[in-house]
Amino acid sequence: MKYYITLIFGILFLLSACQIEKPSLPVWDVDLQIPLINEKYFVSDLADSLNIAIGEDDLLYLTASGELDTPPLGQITLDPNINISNIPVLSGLQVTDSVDFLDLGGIAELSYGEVASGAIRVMIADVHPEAEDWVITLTLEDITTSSGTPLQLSYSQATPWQTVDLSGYQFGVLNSGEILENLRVSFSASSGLPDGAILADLSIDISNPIHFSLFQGILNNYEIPAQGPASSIDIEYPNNVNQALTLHDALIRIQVFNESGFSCEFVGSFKGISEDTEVIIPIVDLNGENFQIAPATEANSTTLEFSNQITELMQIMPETIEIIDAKFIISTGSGIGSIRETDTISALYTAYVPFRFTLHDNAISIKSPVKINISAENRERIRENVREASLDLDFLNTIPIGATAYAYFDVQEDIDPENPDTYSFVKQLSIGSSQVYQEWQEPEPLSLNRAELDLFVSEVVYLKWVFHFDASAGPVEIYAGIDDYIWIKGEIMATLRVEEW
Amino acid sequence: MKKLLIILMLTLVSYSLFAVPTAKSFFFADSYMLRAHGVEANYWNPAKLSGNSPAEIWLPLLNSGICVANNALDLDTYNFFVTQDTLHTEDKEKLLNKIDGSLRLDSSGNISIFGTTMGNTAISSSTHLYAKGGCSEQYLDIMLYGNTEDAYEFTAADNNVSALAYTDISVGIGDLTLPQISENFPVIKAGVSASLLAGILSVTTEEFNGHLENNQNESMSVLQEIVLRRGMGGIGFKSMLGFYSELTPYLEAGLTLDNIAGFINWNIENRQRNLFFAVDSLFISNISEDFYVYENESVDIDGFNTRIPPELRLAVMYKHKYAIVSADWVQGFKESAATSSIGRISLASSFLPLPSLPISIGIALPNSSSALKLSYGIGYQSAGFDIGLAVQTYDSIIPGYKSKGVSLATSMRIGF
Repeated sequence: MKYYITLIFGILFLLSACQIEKPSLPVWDVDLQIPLINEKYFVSDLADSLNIAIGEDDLLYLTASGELDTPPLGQITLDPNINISNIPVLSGLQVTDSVDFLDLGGIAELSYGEVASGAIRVMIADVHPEAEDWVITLTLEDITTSSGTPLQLSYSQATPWQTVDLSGYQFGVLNSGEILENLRVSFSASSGLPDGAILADLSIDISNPIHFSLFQGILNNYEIPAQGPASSIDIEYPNNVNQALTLHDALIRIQVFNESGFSCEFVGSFKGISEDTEVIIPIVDLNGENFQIAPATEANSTTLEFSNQITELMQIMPETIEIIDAKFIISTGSGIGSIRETDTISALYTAYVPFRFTLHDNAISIKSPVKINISAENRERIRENVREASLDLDFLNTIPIGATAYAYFDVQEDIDPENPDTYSFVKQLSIGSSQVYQEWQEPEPLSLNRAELDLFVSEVVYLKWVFHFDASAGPVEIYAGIDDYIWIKGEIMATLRVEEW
Repeated sequence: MKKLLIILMLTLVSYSLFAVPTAKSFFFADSYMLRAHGVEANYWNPAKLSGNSPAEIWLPLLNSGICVANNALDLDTYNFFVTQDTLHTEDKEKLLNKIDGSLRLDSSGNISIFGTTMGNTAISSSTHLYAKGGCSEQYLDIMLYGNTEDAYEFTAADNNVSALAYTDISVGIGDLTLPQISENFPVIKAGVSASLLAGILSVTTEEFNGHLENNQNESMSVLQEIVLRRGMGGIGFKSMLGFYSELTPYLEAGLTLDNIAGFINWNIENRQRNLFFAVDSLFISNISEDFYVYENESVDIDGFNTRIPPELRLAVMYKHKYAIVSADWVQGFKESAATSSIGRISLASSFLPLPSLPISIGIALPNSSSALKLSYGIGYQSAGFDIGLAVQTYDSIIPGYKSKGVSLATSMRIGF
């Protein structure tokens, strides 16, 4: 009996003696793996509508385009300076003569012209006192109306200098191919005087310049200035990139649209400006001669390919390029041509820098650090819950460029990779060139320990990138076909502390 | 996160029940079919309703029991984890090593309302609560270690909840003597009970499909589909057929088939909750605000039936001078909140060290879904009255820190 009672009470005692602790979950760490990325980054995606283009051969190009043009070429002015005074007009007779029609400035030789403005002055003086009902008729055969009727002036009384507006008149014969060297002048008179008697004195004056809205003829050393805005290259070059790669085979293609009927000579220089360098190179052909531009009558445009020193120009990684001191020169060698006052000469130029370069193991850095804002909520989570984190990335690189990227982190913006006191820590990641690695590359994961994670409890963290290319033995070419990409797969692995969130 | 875990655990506990016909069976680890008499025979074997027994009444609440248990964690383990500041790898291993496939929590309850016998008939009423719940070991693995594997699959086999609560009004008649097959063949008594069931609550997991795949090449995909069906308010029926025979003056054998035509039709307020969460091809690099699809809808549904699967029970009992020992074997025909399709054997013995001091001990042997269960009971009895208290422990010899569950029950009967 005692045994049973002892047993029963023993059981009850054991049961009641059990202590059940208050529920309170401990903290623990879990490892989370979350895919970060599985993406092919095609070289072709670098192409944009501004400065990076893909050539027909799939080669990637850095391009920069600009333009320049002339103002409307305007009216060609001819200063014949004709002044014939006191030509006796004989009654009853017709006299035909010619006067020289030469440009006093020696610039223009007219074959045909449509007058925009200009005048001829005529004076009838010293009329014979016995002359009655007389008429003097002056005819200029080389000056005609639009219908081809020669300019004819009639006078029946003495006239002081009388101005005749030549606007709308034409000089010479259209497309005659002949220079109008003389103006034919004929005059006749009728009066009651005997034939042969001097009726009056005739004076003709074309001493003011004549302006032609359409000019056919020869121009001698006629300069047409041109200008255009500088062309910006909208690329933020990393620091020192010109030391890290050497360009090859850059060229500039210039397409000139000449609306005038004259061939001309193109004179100018390319000027490239980078942050701290300026390079000017003259635009000349391989023989050092200026390029010749064909007249409009032969082609819509003239294309010039210009490679002299362009590589040198682009090697400075210019932020702008422009053509300076540009002009077009029409010279006698152009022969007979034509210009309308609305004609212009313009040019479009494009610099082509193929992604064909030799790589050097020099550090280049992105100029501005990346500013990373971290929200208060995320800072709290990083502080309380994140124990470790790492980034595991694999690469398949089909591009013949290898590089090592260095990421410098700090809470201060002034990160100097050369000075360890200016940054908290640095992480590096290397991607081998396709010339070395044809398969997937699996570099060591980028790990952040607890001490490094503490940096990210700051409100702002700065990241500065520095890259070192793997030096290449010779030029490498970057194509942008469907097989040219960097394929990145990766995941984030984080050790998180589970506790009250 | 911690709150989430607590809610999960509490949910599982509250939704996890085991079949408990009456509280008194707690005293014998459910080896009780041939021991039940009076009102309790209504639930265990109506053949045992005897007109020779004194009339008996049940008072409300005094015959009640409740148990809470799980298949993996003992109190010691529980205390260890809730008192740790930090779980280290070896602690996690310790926890997961205790879980074999899934963490299952079960509980049940039984509350008497009233009951009385009149001769070989009885009428009684009690409320029954059954629930089960499980959580895959893989979920716990993710919770403790993170998603270290490439892929995880979660199915309803390991992840489910079910609950059933109803109140019965049962009428039984017993002590019916079957015609003897031969003179030498023992007399077989039969009985039958029928129960009108008032359904209180039914929760079932209709669908559970989970998938998590994290492959660097294939991205991360998550799919979680859960369909839970809930019924509140219903009416149903079940019946029991029982037989027993005194093979010798000391040996009895019995057989019952419970839950015959058992069902509850839920037709008052029925709803179905559809949970759907999916993430397809997730990368952090392309994450956006709508990277996931989440749907949580609760819709009214038509009435439905909850079948209560039949359950077969066989028992023998030997009456010795100093002890009464019994053995029961129970086998459900189908898995449900109230039944198990895995058979189970339980053994019990009762003693009377003093005429007024009955004590009992029982053991339910473990199977693939249930832990070892041991019962200890003590009481006081006199003419026409007995009262008792029992405790059960799971997977340990005595209730204590090694127990994976505990049950408590009280009983009181008044005879006149």
